[in-house]
Amino acid sequence: MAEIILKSVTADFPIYGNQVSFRNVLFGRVVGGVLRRPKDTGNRVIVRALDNVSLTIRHGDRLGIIGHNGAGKSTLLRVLAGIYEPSLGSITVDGHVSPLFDVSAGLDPDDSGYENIVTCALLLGMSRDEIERKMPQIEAFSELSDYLALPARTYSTGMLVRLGFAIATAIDPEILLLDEWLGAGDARFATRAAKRVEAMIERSSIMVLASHSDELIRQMCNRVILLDNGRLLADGQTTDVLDMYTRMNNEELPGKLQSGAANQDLDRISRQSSTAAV
Amino acid sequence: MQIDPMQRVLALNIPQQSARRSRYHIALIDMLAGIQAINIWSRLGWRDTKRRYRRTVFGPFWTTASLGIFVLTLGLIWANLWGQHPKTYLPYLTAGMVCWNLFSAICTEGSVCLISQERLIKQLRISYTLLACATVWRNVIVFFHNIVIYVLVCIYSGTSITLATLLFIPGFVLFCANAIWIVGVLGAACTRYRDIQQLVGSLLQISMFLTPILWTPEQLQGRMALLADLNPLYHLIAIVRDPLLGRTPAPMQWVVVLAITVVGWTLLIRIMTKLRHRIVYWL
Repeated sequence: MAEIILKSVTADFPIYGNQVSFRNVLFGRVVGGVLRRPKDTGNRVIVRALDNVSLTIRHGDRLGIIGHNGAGKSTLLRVLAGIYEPSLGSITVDGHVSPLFDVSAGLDPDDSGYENIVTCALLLGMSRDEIERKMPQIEAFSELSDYLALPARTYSTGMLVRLGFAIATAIDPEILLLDEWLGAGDARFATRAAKRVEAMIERSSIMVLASHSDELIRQMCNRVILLDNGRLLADGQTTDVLDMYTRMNNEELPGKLQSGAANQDLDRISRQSSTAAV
Repeated sequence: MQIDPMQRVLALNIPQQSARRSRYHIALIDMLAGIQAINIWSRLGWRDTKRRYRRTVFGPFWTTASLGIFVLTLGLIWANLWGQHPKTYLPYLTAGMVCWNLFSAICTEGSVCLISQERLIKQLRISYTLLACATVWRNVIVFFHNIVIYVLVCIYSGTSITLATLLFIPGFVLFCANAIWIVGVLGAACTRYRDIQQLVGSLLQISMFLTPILWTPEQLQGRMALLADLNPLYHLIAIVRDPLLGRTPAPMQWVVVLAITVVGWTLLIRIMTKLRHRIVYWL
């Protein structure tokens, strides 16, 4: 049984400007007190992308993550994928995780489609036999036919997405993580992709999807969490949380939302120690 | 035992109370799984080599050609300047340069081995050691392209294959074992401090002249002889170069290189334990 447990997970991103570098460490050591800056917290800019998030995701959960831009949705997904380890708190993941964030990562523009399929599939953890077995299925879904023998740089953006998507969805995932999938591609591809992902979800034990589309969340998820400024605001039934989110947006409209994402980010940077204002 | 280099085993179980121990465990898995994933890193390494061949006739042989011209022209001049016979000096210089080129490429490419894979690292949990191995493998392939020049020089100078030549195999394996930790350490350090990349470049330039590659240690007089013996790079190069020249490296050199290997890998394990989880935040 796949299961994910997050306990008070916090993710802090240090921001290194061009002035904070090797030089400072070097001179800090050499000159001693003169150039040394206040220890740690003093002047280092930290963006807290996730703030004390506790969450248990169990077998059968189809979890949707909603929230504004910069609320921490993608960071949370990447924490679940094991890409970012929490700065504070702990995470336990039981089960094979398949992230589907950037479908064209790992593609080499100079390699042919076939070569790229093998490389990417190996990177995703498939064995040679498995790739061999799934090749026809990947070929068919990508609909690239003869193009697969040509270097990937001759593909259009949509074709690249199709190829990447076909490879990434060929795995049999236990835990499937999706981040706003379906970037490019025409309408026909969009429906086919939706079908394929649904089939994939059927086979997986846990699915987590971050999306801005209420419709998609309603369609795919049986549980939704709402993130705001890195904090977990709500966790519950799909309709309840979506309704709450809509209400929140309506209330906030005059003030906060109009000021845009940039202000939110500044807000979050300076908000290190302020208490939660839910 | 086959370890999945990607998510499955690297799946993080970091209970806060024993975070240090589990980080050590993850560091070890990163290394073991990374090195074991031969099918992946060899493929990534070949892919980069193939890219150099694409749409060119000679591909990586262009670097071989420029190395050949360098060795031939400067080799003949220096042999004359230092009163050495070209038939002994040219093989020495060529073997040294082929090894040095490998070392220098490993350092410069090692510096960017994580930075250049940012997209991949942010897409899936991947072993950093695997990426280091791919970098080393790619340069090993280039090394075997360059060795062609050495073979030609040997034919010209009549350097023959001896039993000592067989020592090339353990020497080269040991060299590569060191290459992996060098790439790993530099990759992590350069991700955090981007200046180190520049520093490595300038240090390499100086080291090439300080290391007996263009000159032989025997040419040093008196106390200066220590310059060679105290230089770890000399021993690292020597265990590959000497067998190529048909000589047996001194036992002392094996000992020194083995010591470097142990120290280096210990350093890598320490860095991986303490900082592995931070690296992705620095990208």
